Amino acid sequence: MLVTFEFTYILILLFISLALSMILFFLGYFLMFKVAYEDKLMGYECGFDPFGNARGEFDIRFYLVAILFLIFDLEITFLFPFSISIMSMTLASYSIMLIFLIILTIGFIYEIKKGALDWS
Amino acid sequence: MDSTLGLLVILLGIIMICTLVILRSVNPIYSILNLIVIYGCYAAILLTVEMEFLACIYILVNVGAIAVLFLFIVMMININIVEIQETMRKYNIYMIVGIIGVIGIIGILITNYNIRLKEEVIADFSMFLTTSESNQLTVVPTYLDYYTLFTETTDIRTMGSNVIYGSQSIWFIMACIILLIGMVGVIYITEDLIIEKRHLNERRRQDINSQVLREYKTTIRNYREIQ
Repeated sequence: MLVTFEFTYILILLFISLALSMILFFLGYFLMFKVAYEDKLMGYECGFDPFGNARGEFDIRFYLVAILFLIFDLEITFLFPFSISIMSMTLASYSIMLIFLIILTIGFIYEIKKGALDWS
Repeated sequence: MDSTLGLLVILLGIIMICTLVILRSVNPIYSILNLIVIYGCYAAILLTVEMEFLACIYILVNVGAIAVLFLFIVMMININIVEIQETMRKYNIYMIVGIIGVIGIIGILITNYNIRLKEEVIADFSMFLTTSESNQLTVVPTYLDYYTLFTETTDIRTMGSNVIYGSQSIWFIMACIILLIGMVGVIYITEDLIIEKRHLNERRRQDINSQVLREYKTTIRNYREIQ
């Protein structure tokens, strides 16, 4: 019941963000000058094809950074209920959280030592 | 509760349509976009049973995972669209079975809970009532119950104080170790590629100081000796 009050604000925020994203999406479409003729679809004079595959392969380091981001994202989701319920906790559950953070810090040190996050 | 059931049926219907689109769509990016819709529907179902934290986490984690999946599709999969269309036909039987399963779930929900809309109940007894009485029944008085505001706990507080760090804390440590394995495994897989690229960059490196300080007397010394 406490939360249902706050849902109205979330709904208002959702509508605002939806409207803003729709405006930004369609603004470029309407402001653009469109001159369509057949020559645009033809091949270039040098012999290249004007339309290619949109999925070019790119560096694997983007993927690495994305996965490492995802892992720390999941770590933060465990920190949310910890921070809420820290008043009603025993020492055991607090130390379990410390073990969790220490193990993930070991992983973070491993990342930095291996140079996975260096963008040279 | 009566409106909740209708919402649940609508959400399950959306999920069913989206799973059909995921199976039928040729382009994997369209199936991922439908996956986002499905997780949104799951989050809405969790909201109906007052699990706000889990719903938020569903959206947060799955949007992150789906961003990674986008990268995965763009990078790794190099496929011909025509080939998929031919192999898609063998999944048609599974789709029929899946439809029957979802219809069964909806049927169980409707029959088990046996919940009727309040308007229907009033309409059944409307012959015994005058119109003013039935109008009175439909009006629900709304007031703020301050006692529940003090005593209620949200699901995030229950999970934090009782479940994750309390009785089920061994699984919490297991989740931590799984996250560590994911972190180390990704670095181990991509290690060779990244180190190779780094060596290439080191060989190509430019040292401007030594280039400027270079003189012809020291560099052409060996050439003179040969002559």
